[in-house]
Amino acid sequence: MPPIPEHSVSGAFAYSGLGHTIRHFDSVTSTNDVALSEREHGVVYVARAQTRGRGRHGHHWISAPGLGLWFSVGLTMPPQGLTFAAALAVRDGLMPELDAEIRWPNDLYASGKKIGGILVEHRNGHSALGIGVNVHHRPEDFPPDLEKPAASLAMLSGVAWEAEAVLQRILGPLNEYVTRLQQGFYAEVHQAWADALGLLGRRIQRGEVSGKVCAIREDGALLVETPTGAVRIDSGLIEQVD
Amino acid sequence: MDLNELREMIKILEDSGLSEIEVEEEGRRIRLSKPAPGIIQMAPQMQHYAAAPAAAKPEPETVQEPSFADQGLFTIDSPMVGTFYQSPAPGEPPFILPGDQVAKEQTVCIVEAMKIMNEVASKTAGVIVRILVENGDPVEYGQPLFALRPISA
Repeated sequence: MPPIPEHSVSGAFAYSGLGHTIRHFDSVTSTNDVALSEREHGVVYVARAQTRGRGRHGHHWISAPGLGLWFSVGLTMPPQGLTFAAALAVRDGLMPELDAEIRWPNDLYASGKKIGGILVEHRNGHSALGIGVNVHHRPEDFPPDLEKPAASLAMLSGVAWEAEAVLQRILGPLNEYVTRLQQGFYAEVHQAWADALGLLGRRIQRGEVSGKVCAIREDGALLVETPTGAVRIDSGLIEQVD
Repeated sequence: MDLNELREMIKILEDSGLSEIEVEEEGRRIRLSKPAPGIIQMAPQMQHYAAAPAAAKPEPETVQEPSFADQGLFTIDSPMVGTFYQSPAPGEPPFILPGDQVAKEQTVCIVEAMKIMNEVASKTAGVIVRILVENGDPVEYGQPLFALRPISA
């Protein structure tokens, strides 16, 4: 009998992509905290509730028990490009039922309401890619004083969604985009993300700065043309003027 | 201005990193310039944010404070362009304060850019002597954030 080729012995059918292992938690401080301390690659940590879920530096993310999909992917790789990959993956994963749009820098909107967000954290060569999606919320589940109007998949599509199914739908494209990053196709993923924003050439306003977006830089920052020169914008809420 | 003064000016220009000198004296203005090879003029709209500060600044005559290295100090530098945060979240205590001892690879701050929160770790064990930037400050790649006195093992 011929020897069995080695690759077939070591489990040719074992899935080794992102989400090869999925760990569920009832309540954690934040799934990113878990991913950063566990330091495993490709493992997904899902929580029913987060007690300290957060957005960009400390903006609290409302993660009430059972209403949304809150998860993180642990990745042994640098963080650059992961926010682009995540935003594209969530958008792709929700199609065709929902036409989600990516709003700079990394919020997911549909019908003008925020449905999800992304936060990447990095510690010593290990990245935690955190994604939150509002799944089951009814309008009364959101606090009335939210900075940005929010909605859930259920509210917007009128279809019942299962958080676990949403997770699987996001993981497929996420695995592809992250693989592209690992293969060195950062520019391609960045371009897809920049195209999805649809901001190039548009007039925006952020605080005192107002002008036309003339470039989306490699790191994702916007270059805005103002009467006094180009200004780099890399954080904060922007408003689209036209 | 006499010829000697003009010679003096030419010499200053040649010896310095300056590309241009302009002097106005009693209604007369003299401007000397030299080509700066290898320096590409940036498009005007780029200057605003990418202005290379003081590329041609003459050496100050005053005695400078000894560098951190001269004082036997190490710095912890920013790994990227972004915003400096002293604490994991607003309202939470800072990761470290001056006088605190840090272990190798201990997180000392966060630098955030484009929703990527980068925890910055100390490359060496030591005692924090100074925090060189303010919470919420924009920081550049390689900019020193902390000065620390290493603890020899």
